[in-house]
Amino acid sequence: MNGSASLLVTTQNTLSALLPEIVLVVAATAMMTFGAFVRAPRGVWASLSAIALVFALMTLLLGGETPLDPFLAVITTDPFATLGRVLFLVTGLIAVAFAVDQVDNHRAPEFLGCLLLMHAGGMVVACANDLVLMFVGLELVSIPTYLMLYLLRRDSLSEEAATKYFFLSLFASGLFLFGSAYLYGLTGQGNIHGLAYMAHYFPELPQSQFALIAVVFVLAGLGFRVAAVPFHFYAPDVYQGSPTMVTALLAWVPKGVGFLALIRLLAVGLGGDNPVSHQAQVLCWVIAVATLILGNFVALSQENLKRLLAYSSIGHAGYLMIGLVAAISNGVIASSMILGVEGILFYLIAYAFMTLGFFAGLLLLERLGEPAETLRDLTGLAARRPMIALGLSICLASLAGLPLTAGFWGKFQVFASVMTASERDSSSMLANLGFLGMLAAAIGAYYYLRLIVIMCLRDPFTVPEMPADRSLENGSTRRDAALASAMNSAPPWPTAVAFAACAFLTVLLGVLPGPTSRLTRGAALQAINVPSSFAKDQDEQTANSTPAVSPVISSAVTNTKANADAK
Amino acid sequence: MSTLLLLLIVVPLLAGLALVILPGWSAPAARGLALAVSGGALLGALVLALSFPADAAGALFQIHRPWLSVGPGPGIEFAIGLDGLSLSLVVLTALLVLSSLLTSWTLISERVAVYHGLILILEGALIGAFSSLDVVLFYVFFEATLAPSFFLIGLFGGPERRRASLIFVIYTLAGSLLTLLGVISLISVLYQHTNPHFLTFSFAGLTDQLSALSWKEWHDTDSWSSPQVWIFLLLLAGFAVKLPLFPFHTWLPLTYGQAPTPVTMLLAGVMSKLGAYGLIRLCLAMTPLGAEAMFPWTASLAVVGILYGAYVALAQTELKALVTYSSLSHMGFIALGLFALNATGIHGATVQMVNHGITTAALFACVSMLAQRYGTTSVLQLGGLWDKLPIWTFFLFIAALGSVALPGLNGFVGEFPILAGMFGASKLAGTLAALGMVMGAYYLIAMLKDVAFGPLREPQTLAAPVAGSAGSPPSGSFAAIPPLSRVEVTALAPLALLVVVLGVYPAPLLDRLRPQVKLVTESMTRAQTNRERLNAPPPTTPAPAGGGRFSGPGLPPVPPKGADGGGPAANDGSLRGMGGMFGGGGGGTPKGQGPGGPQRKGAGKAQGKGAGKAQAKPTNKSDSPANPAPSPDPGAPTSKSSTSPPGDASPKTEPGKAAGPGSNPPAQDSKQNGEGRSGS
Repeated sequence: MNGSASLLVTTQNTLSALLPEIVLVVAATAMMTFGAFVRAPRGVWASLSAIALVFALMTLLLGGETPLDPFLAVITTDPFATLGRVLFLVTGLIAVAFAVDQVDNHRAPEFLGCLLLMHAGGMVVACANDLVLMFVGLELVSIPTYLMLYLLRRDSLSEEAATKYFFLSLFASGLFLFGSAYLYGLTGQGNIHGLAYMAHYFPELPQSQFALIAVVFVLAGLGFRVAAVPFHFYAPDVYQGSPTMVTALLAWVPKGVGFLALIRLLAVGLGGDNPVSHQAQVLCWVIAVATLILGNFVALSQENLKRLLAYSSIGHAGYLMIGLVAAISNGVIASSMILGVEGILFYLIAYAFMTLGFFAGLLLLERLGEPAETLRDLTGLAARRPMIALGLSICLASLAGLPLTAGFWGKFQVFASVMTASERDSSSMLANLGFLGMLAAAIGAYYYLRLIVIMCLRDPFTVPEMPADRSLENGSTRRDAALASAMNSAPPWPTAVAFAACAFLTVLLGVLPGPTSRLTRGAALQAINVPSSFAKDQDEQTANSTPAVSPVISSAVTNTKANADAK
Repeated sequence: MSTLLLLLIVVPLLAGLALVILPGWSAPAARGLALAVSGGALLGALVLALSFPADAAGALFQIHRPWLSVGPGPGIEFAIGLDGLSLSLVVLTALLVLSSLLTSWTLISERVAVYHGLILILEGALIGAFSSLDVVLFYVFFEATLAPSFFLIGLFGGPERRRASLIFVIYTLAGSLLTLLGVISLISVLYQHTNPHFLTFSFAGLTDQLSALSWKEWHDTDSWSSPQVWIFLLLLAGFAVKLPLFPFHTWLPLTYGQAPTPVTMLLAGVMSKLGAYGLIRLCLAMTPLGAEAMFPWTASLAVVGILYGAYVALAQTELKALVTYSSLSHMGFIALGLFALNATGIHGATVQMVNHGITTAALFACVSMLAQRYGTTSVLQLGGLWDKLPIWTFFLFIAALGSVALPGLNGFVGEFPILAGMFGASKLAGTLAALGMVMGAYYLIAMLKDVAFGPLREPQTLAAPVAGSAGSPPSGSFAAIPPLSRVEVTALAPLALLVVVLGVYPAPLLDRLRPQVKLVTESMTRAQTNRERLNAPPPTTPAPAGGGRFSGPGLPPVPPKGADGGGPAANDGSLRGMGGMFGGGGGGTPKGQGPGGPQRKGAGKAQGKGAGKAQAKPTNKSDSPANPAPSPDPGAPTSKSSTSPPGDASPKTEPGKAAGPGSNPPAQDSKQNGEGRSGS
């Protein structure tokens, strides 16, 4: 099975496997095109987007297995990809529920179209098996974001945010592309599974020292997406300047996309016992430590809610980086690699729900005419809006990583992975990372709990004055007259439902993590290419300490190997 | 029975959630529901206690449900069960919650449903933590106690309540996150260094396997960076804050002071025990060599805590602050007993955990009742209350004297073995701690003198009368100060009764705690033996052991140089100390000695039989035929299948097991010696 026939089959299968993304992109294009001619209330556009998302979800879940050659196809349909795609579809639905009444009627089609494109981009990255397609997916996330930043609101703050994000994001894309080009130039491979195979021969490749450059640039490009420390500068300003709806998307989608891509590239593509992976691990270690410390410490002094959330989001990137460090640890310990990937996936799921849930609460408050810009605006919320305060508190508890919430198990798995990896680590670097991470978590807990204190424990009798003040003040600074008229009405039910669902899922994942954990385990096992069971592989690994190359790869690599030999 | 245990956790949690979340509770309905639930919980706990055989070594009433699988193997379980230690603490929790609810009967007038709901949630979480058989589940419950206490302090506390609640939670959380890291490290150490890889999250499995681990570095404790030492320190972090151990106590005065006093009863009475409980179960049982290596530090901190608490208490004029620091000082004793690392000290500490819970809670309850009447608890303004509030004074007397450790009251039963154990480990520390005991007696009795005797002193004006007790608001005239209401007497009476009963007849409690202490000391011995074995130079392996104390059948011999190692020698001494001290400690309570004696011998024999496999489960199994549990006990087979290591009886763990008989005879002998001496 080689030659053009195989290529044709693969292309056909790829297209059919990409059907969900195609559905979304077509729907988005149609909406954006017809939006110029057809006048319809925003509810209609939102319903259309929701239908497109549900349809894509059904295609994804009901569509059968399409066999794809891992070394030929540009995408892969392993459980890892499926999990990521489903996650983006679900959060896409939540985002549509947020957007229902955040946008004017005449901008709704463009905005919702961008939203669909953004999530389609996330899905493409989740299943990308090729550097170029991964880049396309990343851009599919970024480019609609530029539009969305500017569509909802047009004041100087928003302009500043949009401009900042635009330039820095372009820069980051360039860095990523540069790194990918080096990877391709070194190995002759754009295919990630091919890279994974070639990674074992890195020392034998000519100019293999350039692999480090590739890793640095790829990390820099993706580090921007996940707001990891040296590349985090945009986050506070952009978060603060953007409308809450877009901030919610910014806090979740790029981070999810970035980590899925990081796993694919660093843990799968360059993973294994090779010098590049060791260097990448050190880099990730440095980034993780810096991110954890900076994110959590600076968040302590924030008074603006969105800036606080920006630093919180940076902090969470730090915890996820811990998982990444474990996921690319020496390669001899498959268990810690799998635990690392698993931990990142679980953490991402938890992060999606708790972050989106928190923003949903803020959106609801905005709709109720009590927008919360600073921490003080939340004072005594529990007395005014007990249910919203409850939901927000649940999300905050989860962000802080308290038990019985999803965030706890996310942190637990991430730290478990790094401690497992540290057992074979002579320099105790990883154990120190775990220690630092826990200290950061303790600091982080402070500012989350302070929010709960402000919401729930402030004197109830000082409360009635606050909302009156705020609504007057804000009424004068309101950006959009149309939005202002909609204020003080009952909150839209989709947002309320999304809020409740996020809070509920956060608790559900905390109380019953088992089913989700099984999914993430399966995804991680497949992604890391461990053939059969975890334990069995461990034994093989320790017995003859060969790098993990699955039979799938070794049987199908002749083509790639010929390439390598030719070089 | 195991269903009953599950209900003890679930019902308070659900009822509490209902009270907090559902709107529209009237105050009497909320109080009634809370009272019913907590009363039912106490009843259930007592039923469990009565059906609990005295010598059960392992956990009974077990329930195992898979919860989350991390990696291969059984994974994290929702596993609950009770052994003697956790049973005592569960009963204590149920009792104190009921007592606390009765103490706050008229205190809370706003958001009654929320208050009672939070108390019930706290109860469920505490019982859950004490009955967890899975470390992660324990941790989850351990932290779940934070949420209700956070809101209880923050919503119902004094003027600085918000700061207090935040500080309390942050301190505890910071410590317990490090503990979580330690727990994870323990699990991954075990997983990585067993072959085939053995993953477990159960207390019993970890305790057994870790001490038998054949990884040499694990048993080396030469430097701070050796794994067992730093894991011990990580684990200690959370429990030291919770306990609190001396330099980590800074949250305590503010929190205890600002929390509503009935909540302080629970914080001081039960939640601090959570720290001690974790210390026993994790620090001592799983990283005994780390604890041994850190002995000078931990013991000094405990002693400093005792003296510091007592010294500060001397200067207090507020009754509540005085009781707060007294509680700090007495928790130092518990830490001291645990860090003595011998059976006497640990046994005393476990007993004292229960006793301290009772006396401290009773003291805080008395403080609360006084504050409800006068709005102040200042010793400067109050005095001679014997005439005014005779019943109250009576209860205060009993509680204070129990706390002073007057022989015949419960404090003595706990603190005496603690001091004795510490003397065995370090004369200096024991002496200093005894000094703290004297200081404790001084400030508590001085307090009694000031408050109870002399001419009647009352504040000039009623400073903010807190919700006039029993529905009659005192209108500035002190004649209106009501005597203790029936509810308040009901709250205090059982505590006072227990102070006396446990002082006079502590045997039932002692007997139930002893097997748990033995598990811990056995784990220590096993770890020490294992260290000896691993440090032995390999060539000497085939040579038969002369008559080494630790050489059992089929055991690699102990090199002669091992005899001078501090580990086994110290341990031997301590075990002998246990026998002697129990004789001595029991001697003060002749009634308790009679029934206690034979049972103890029975336990020793059972142990002798089961000693071939010095693991928790086998011991349990060998006990049960000799001492059939009255309950149907479905737990035993479950436990066997799920917590005993499945097929991991690899050659590596065998020597560890075989080490059991070698190490046990000295303990056996010394114990019998001790009893003989006490009988004579």
